[in-house]
Amino acid sequence: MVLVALLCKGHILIEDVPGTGKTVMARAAARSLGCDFKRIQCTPDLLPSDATGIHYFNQKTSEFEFRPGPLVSNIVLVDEINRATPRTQSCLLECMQEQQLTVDLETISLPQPFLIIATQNPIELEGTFPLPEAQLDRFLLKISLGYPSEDEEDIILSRFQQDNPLDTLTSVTNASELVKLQELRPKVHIDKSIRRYIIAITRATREHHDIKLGASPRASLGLNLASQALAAIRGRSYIIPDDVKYLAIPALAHRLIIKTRARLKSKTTEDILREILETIPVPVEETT
Amino acid sequence: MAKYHAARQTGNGRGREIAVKTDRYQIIANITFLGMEGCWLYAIMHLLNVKSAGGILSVPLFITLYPLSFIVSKLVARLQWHKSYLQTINWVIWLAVMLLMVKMQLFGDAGFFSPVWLNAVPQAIKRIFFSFEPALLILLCSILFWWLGQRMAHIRIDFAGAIGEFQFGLIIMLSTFFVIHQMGVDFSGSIAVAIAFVIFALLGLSITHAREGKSWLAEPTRGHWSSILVICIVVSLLTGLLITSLVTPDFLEMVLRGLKWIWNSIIEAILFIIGLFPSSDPEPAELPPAPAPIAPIDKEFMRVSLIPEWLRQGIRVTLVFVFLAGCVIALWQVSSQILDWMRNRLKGSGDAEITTIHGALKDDLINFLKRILLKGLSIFEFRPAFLKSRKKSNLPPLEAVSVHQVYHQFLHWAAKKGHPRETHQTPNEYFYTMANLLPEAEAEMGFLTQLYVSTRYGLSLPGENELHKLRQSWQYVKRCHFKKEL
Repeated sequence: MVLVALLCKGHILIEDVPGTGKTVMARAAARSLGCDFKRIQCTPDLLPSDATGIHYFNQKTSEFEFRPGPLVSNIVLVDEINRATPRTQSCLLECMQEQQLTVDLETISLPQPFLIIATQNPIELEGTFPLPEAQLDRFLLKISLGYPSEDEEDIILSRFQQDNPLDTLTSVTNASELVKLQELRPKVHIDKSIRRYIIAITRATREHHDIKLGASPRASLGLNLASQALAAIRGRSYIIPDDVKYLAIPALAHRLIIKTRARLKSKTTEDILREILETIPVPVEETT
Repeated sequence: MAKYHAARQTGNGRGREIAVKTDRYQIIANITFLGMEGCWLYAIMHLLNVKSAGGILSVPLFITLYPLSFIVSKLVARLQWHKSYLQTINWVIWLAVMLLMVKMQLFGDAGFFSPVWLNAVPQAIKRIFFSFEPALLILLCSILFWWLGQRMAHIRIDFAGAIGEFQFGLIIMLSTFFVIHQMGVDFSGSIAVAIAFVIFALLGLSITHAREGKSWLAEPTRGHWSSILVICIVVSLLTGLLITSLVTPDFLEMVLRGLKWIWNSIIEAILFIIGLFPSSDPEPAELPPAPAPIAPIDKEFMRVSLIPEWLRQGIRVTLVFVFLAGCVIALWQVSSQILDWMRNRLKGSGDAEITTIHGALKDDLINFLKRILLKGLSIFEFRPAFLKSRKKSNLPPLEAVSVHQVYHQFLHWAAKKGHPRETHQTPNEYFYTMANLLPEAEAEMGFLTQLYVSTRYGLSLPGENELHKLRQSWQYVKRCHFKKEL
């Protein structure tokens, strides 16, 4: 999913309990991709300038110099974004949208590729500032790592027993190669029927009886782009319906608002999306 | 004819046998295509010969241009030169053959080096607006025949092509027979031409369908397809003879008399009903005044108002074309409806596999007419933009259509066996389901699914080997049995 978001110039929101490996995943991704990595731990007193950077007066040169903050990096892990104040959140979201930041009227382009992996804890919500829908919509994908299985946890323990595997991780590419890959992503072919399939899914979310707010056209676009990226990662030059189905929930679930009565029935947006995917026919019609 | 189904087993010797049989069938299929086109070309040529050349041309001799062009195109294509060089050679050969045809048909007695037959065509072109000479007919028809022969040498000989040729040829032939009848032209060979067309069409359709390996005709348990084909042809001929013997002029006269009697009875009944209502005697009407005599027309005015002869000829030719086009369109509509009805009837039958290629013939015909118009207009260096670029066909390529057809046959077969694909299942998801139910055919189903997915959603087209493997995989899957669910 990290690669998908990277290729689409999108960003990821991870909603998970602490200790499931979010930071390790982000670090591992950065190291293997040959990119810079920075981490921001959000707290209620985090100021926007703490993330973007500041201009300070250099007494030696007698000039104001810009000291970039942790946002000026290729891969940025923003831990517990819902703990930051709305002001700091909006600053981060501006960077996500514009791929640049403004400090003291000076616009600074962020390095390419640029990926924000934001996390939020779904359990402890006291003293948090939940992201509003309009801002959640800006995340390309929302995923949840979840707890590992028994075998996976065994592997984790054995791997981390001696030393940190991250220390021995080598990069397989670099930032400039990733930028080239980003430019190649639009060349993945999308059949017209697949496009209609994506639109049918997003339109179904707008008409579902349990959904108050359905997916926007930005969601359709995001799903389209993500499907292209996934097809490319899987070694194909075209999208197949399986790519769309695989990414439908990560790309759309966080953009929906379900009605209260559905929430009372313990329905989640993921459940509703699964229902929708089972009703939308996959384009396998006869072509003549 | 050797049994086609006996050579379907694998093995080197058998594989060579299959290759030899395939080549033989390819040649036969080519012959049937040539035969179908040759039949309606013969009909058209006969009409044009009688109406434009006074019947002096030998039509069978002229028709030989068509297969000759086919052979020349095939031979020239082996040179593997640039396409423009091959075209030039082809048309140079056409020029020589056309001039030879003019000499043989019109100037048989003239010496070989006499300029009379060499100048015949340029002279005929000069006098085009005043009279239509046989040499001009030979020029125009030879261009058409030569082009058709070239086209035949390069088109794909398959079932879809056979259907297209049959449809197109049937329409052209029927409209030609209609025009022949309307113009009162004697065409005693019409029955023979029609029968020959049907025979070639049946042969061509059967062979091409069987070669694609998806017809019941390819199954070893279904008997001798050639015998069944011959029986069908014989039954059709006998039925035709029976109808011909029954429908004599006396019979037709009797039917007409019957119809006249019915019509007269209806008129009498109407008159009787009218007679029941009393009517007053009409008063004698006054005669209208005599019209004033018409003033003589000014000769100067007449001279100005008359259109030139060349324009009048041109308008006449245009109107004839418009009329013919209208007839073709009308016949097209009727034939399409008949074919749709036949398709629907055949769909209901057990193992018949019907494939539809809507718009393929229309697409080809429109592009053909556009190319002719463009070539004609290019003489005057006038090329409208809408004619310059060939409209991209909205139809998928034939290779893709074959893959889609096989996959849909697979879906249909699995559904009949009680394992239909759910509408929300992707091809890959369905494959995993089927692989559990039919593990022995997992590899074949996987190949079939993969090829379908890449063709359906991607831009790649399968090669000949892949299509062959696809057909073999499908045949293998069809013979497998589902795992019994416990």
